[in-house]
Amino acid sequence: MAETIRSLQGQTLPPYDIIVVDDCSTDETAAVAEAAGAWVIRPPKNKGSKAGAQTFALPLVATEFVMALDADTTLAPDAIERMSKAFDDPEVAAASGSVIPRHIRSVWERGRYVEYMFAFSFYKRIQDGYGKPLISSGCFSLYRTDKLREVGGWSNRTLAEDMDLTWTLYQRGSKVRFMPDAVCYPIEPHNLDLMRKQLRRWSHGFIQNVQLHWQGVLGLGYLRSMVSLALWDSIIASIGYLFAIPLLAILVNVAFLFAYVLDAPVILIPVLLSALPRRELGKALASFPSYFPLRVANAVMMLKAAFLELVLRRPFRVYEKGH
Amino acid sequence: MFFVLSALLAVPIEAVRTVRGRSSRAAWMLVTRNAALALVMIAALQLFFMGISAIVRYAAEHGKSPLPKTLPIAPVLMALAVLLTVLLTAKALELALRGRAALRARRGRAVLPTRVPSSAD
Repeated sequence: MAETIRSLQGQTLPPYDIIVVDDCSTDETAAVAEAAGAWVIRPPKNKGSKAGAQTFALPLVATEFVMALDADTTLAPDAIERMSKAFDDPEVAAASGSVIPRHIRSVWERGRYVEYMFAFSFYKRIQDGYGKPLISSGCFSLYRTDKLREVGGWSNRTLAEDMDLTWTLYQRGSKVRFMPDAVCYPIEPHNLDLMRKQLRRWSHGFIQNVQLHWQGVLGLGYLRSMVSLALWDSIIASIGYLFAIPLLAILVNVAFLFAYVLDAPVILIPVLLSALPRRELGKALASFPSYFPLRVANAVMMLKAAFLELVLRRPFRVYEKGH
Repeated sequence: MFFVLSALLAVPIEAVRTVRGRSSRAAWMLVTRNAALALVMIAALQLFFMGISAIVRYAAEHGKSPLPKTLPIAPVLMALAVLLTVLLTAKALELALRGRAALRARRGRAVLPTRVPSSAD
């Protein structure tokens, strides 16, 4: 928390105010934040989710722009300045930046590092080129305050409040941008238990957002394509990945196992190209194998979420933060 | 595959925007970068497949490999067919929904929400 606040104070374009929502924590959060110079507010009772806590603080914001930042996320010194350039366009309501895990030690952190390097150096830029980043990441995003207030802030009707907000803004005619040079460093889950909690939240959140927004999304060309393919990937591709490939390998030919690594060079190329200027080639190469266990975990959690939400109609509502 | 195709397709789209005077140098830099990266990825995939195939062939007793020499075209076409099916299904769903909305509007009923629900609702 103290590190996060210090990284905000050290920005080339520092924020006017830093509001910390102490959502009825039982540790030293409030004291640490206050000592670091933040304005700490505390709701009368726990808001139950990050969305609830952030929306609780929204009426206190007196500036034209407001930034949401997770407590465990630090920023590159010029992150806000670079991100603020997105708002030169008056139609832009939200912007997000690149995300790179702060610690890259365990298999899960390494897998996430590769996943993020691939996403933020390749397909997020393409999404931005088409004017439709799939999501303005909740860990670090900048918003036009009036636009955010118009939609009621962050909603807790799904477990992925950032995706919900992004899609809502699109449907209201606002633009969302991805600014690759604005970099943040969150702490990612370092073991399977924490990763499972995060993936459960994200996968249920995605399905919940599809259920909530599908009619509105259908009218937004490129977003419709991405969401329909993501839904296909989450269900059919996961079945193929977890069941069809092993069965074909056992029953037909062991060469089918090759399918698991067929796209490895496609993922590796953007990862290495973005690791090169960061002087992280060795780290990227050493981390690359960890991407595949994470992909299996992703497929398992996504399939489970789709089954629970769409077939059994048992929505998951408990907001569990990994750490 | 969707994003690789998106990156390549962005080039003619940007060309059209340029003709219409709606492009910029920054937009072209982004489009060129993404398209070049997509081409490198395709080349890397092809090289990877050729390498694996050569290794397997070398290891096989009679020089026969269960893998073809280059990236087989059939699975690529199948993946493309799946991609198009998913995209066209989503588009068809949109058109169906619009048609239904228009029909109901003519009958005096709205089927689609007139505004997007927000968390304030």
